[in-house]
Amino acid sequence: MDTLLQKFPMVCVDKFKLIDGETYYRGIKNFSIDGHYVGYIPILCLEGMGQTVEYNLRTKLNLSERKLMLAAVKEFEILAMDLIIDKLEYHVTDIQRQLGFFTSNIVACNPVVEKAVIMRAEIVHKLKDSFKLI
Amino acid sequence: MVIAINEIMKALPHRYPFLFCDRILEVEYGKTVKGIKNVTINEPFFQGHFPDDPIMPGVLILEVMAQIGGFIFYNSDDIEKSLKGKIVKISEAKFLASVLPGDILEVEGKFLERIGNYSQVGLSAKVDKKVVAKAVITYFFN
Repeated sequence: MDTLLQKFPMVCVDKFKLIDGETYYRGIKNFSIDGHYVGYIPILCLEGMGQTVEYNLRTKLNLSERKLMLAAVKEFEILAMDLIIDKLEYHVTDIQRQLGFFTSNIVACNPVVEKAVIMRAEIVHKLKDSFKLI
Repeated sequence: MVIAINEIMKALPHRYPFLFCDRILEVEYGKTVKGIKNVTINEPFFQGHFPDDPIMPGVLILEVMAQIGGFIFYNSDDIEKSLKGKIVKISEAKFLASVLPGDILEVEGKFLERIGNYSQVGLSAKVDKKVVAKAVITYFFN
């Protein structure tokens, strides 16, 4: 919570973990019956994927208090529907930087069911107050 | 055809704090839809996004678009079945301006294509007639 600028109820990742040999931190999110959002909601998983990218960028770059905004979702696909999921892991596969924009690919896996990919996304972040995306 | 909040709540399973459609202004079944979401500082998400600078999260703009866009398939004679679609894909989404408390998000949707159980809708969200976001959303119907 010190690293991300989002706070409750918009913190969509519970824990970040760096596995030996991996370049990027994984985001981990548990789902339960909490006060605001019951169960898992795909659009909040997309936010969790975005926050995992943001955490990786903030740990690598000196962004201090500069906000990263979602500029585009090139693609977000739900590959498995109607599953009862109590935990998801967000894996960043790559991040490309171009001027003030960061394009990343992320998959959301269910760590319990043999790392099954539940969702995948390609999203673009931009630094707030940088260029406008046309 | 205007659809007010009581009818919207019969059609959509979403509830506070995740019901993001205040009113449907126009709907032509299977073709077009127009609806609004009034954005207010009392929304819970503004507490955390961001505590010092309230900005509507992009993913929630997408959720507004998805909920309103689904009303293209609204059939007042069969409400139970008409909105049972689920989002399976979002593509080409762009966020062109920040959405702030006090804004009225006006979403327009146009049916694009149907392939089997999958239906694609093109959506744009405007504030004061200026496009702030656009996306193509694919729904799956059982």
